[in-house]
Amino acid sequence: MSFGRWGEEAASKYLKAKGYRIIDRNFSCKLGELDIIALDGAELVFIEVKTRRNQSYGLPCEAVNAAKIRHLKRMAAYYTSVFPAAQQDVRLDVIEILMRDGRPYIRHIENITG
Amino acid sequence: MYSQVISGTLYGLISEQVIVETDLSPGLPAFNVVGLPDATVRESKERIRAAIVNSGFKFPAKRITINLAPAGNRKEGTHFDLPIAVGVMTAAGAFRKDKTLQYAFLGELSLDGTVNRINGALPLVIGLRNQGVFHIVLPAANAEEASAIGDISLYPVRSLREIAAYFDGIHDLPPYQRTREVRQDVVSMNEDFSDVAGQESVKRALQIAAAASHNVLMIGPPGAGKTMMARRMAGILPAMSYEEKLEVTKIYSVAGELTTDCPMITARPFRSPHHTISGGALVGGGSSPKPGEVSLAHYGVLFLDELPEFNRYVLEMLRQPLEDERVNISRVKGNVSYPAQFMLLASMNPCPCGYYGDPTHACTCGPNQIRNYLSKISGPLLDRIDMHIEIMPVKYRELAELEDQDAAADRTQASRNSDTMRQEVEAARQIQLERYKEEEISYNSQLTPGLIKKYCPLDKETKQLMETAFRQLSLSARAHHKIIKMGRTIADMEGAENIGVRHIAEAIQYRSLDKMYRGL
Repeated sequence: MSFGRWGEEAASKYLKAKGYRIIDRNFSCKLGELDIIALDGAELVFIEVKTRRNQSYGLPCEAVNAAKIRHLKRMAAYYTSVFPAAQQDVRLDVIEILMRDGRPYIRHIENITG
Repeated sequence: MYSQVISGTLYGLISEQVIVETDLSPGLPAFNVVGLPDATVRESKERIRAAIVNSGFKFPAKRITINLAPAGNRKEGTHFDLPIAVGVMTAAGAFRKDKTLQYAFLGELSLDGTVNRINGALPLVIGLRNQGVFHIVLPAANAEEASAIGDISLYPVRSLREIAAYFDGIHDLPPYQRTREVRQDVVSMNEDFSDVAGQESVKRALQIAAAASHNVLMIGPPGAGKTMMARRMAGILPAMSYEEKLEVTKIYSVAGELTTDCPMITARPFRSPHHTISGGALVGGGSSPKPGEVSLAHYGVLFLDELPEFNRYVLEMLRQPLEDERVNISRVKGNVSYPAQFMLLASMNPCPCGYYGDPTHACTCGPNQIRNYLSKISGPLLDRIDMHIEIMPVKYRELAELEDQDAAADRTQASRNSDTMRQEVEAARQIQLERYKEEEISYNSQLTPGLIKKYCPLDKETKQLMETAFRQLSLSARAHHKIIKMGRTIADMEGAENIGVRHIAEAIQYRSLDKMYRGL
């Protein structure tokens, strides 16, 4: 299993423990891939997972820059057009996993566009 | 999810109602404000978000659209923070809609949810009242200022949390009780006309000017006492009426000159800008026009010390306010008008070296230099000044007498003090108020040629004196009218019904410039 895939697995477990209902994993469309799609209560949440071994390239969440956010928004719009959920609230989250001293640290950042 | 909140917006001193609409839609969270908000209002999004979160509420993760209706007019000011925040909270269901609709909201928000003081509170509240809104929630720091209006209910608040406690449906906001009476500002007792040695004729002239708001130009060598006496003018001006105080407070509110400790202007303004002032600062301007010194001197005195030192182009800008008693500022974004009815008080030296006409110093200027110096002030500006007074340096004897005398005691004989002078000014002012109560003017200085005919009839003797003066001094028609107006004021100070020869004779004396520079 690749390092990135392992991270997504860990993020999924984390969300399930938090009470989220996972709807889809690695939803692939011609625009790209959405890591995790889940339901937090009534809100539909698209989660981007970023995993890093160290901070040489900055914090994992810093990889989610303006361009990436635009990209995620377009994919989310595509998803909701293909699977329209009537009058549903939508949200974009980021989960970052950073390895420090061999142990993983996880951080869930909610609503990166609000 | 939708809500409406009532607020207001300002154009100059005029305020109009604004409906803040909030819509919460499903979709990726966003926060947009439409309705031509200017930079201050656009920035408010960050303040509002932080204030709501820091007050203990969840900021709705919805697509939020705020519309400031009517959408076609520019909106500016920090007072939109609170109505927008309340709109968001109401649309999200945290505040009860039926409750928030009963009030208008004004206030700036701090990042921690505190409601901050705003500028222009008084005119905003007046505008809302005129449009039928009588219940207004506003910053506690502005409550005193806005309570100058009697017939509305004000609800001062300090934080968003405080508002939340009232709008959860259980409690009611307590209205503001005005605790203090309007303070009559006591003019500082440090500066009194009795401090000035001699110069009785100048004091008399300034008193006449104060009585009817005549414009004055003082000409004299350095050290004669021009600046000293000008500063003491504030002490002899008549008190303002309630309406005048309200109008001046509105202007100061918009200009951002009011504070929590000083929420109302009760003393007549006395403005003395430095001669390096720019045109915009003098008459008003900026991209969203703010009142200038002439408007901050409304119903008061504008003192220009060292008149020839002012930029000539800047002085020209005084023409409109002196003529129309208003300033109209046009910008691409819209036109704004501020009132500017003030008494102009100016001082200057008689020539570049300062000693032309001085009995003790020799003047070292040639006639060309003097002409050049005088031409710095345009004819039309000079023409709008009613009184020219020559000020001569005081004799040593008078100065010594002043120092000898005890402070409070023997002031009755030689010098008179500001208190006495002001009472005489008030008496003359009352006569004018009574006389002009059906007219649109308040002072003798505002008399138009038509009104002069009506209120200033001259007897045969007086007319002859005027004719002689007209010929000998080569007076213009405007100067002729000014002398009559001053005669009217001098008669009023005596309590005389009709203008007589001695009144006109004295008035003619106050046209020094016509005499001083004859033969040049």
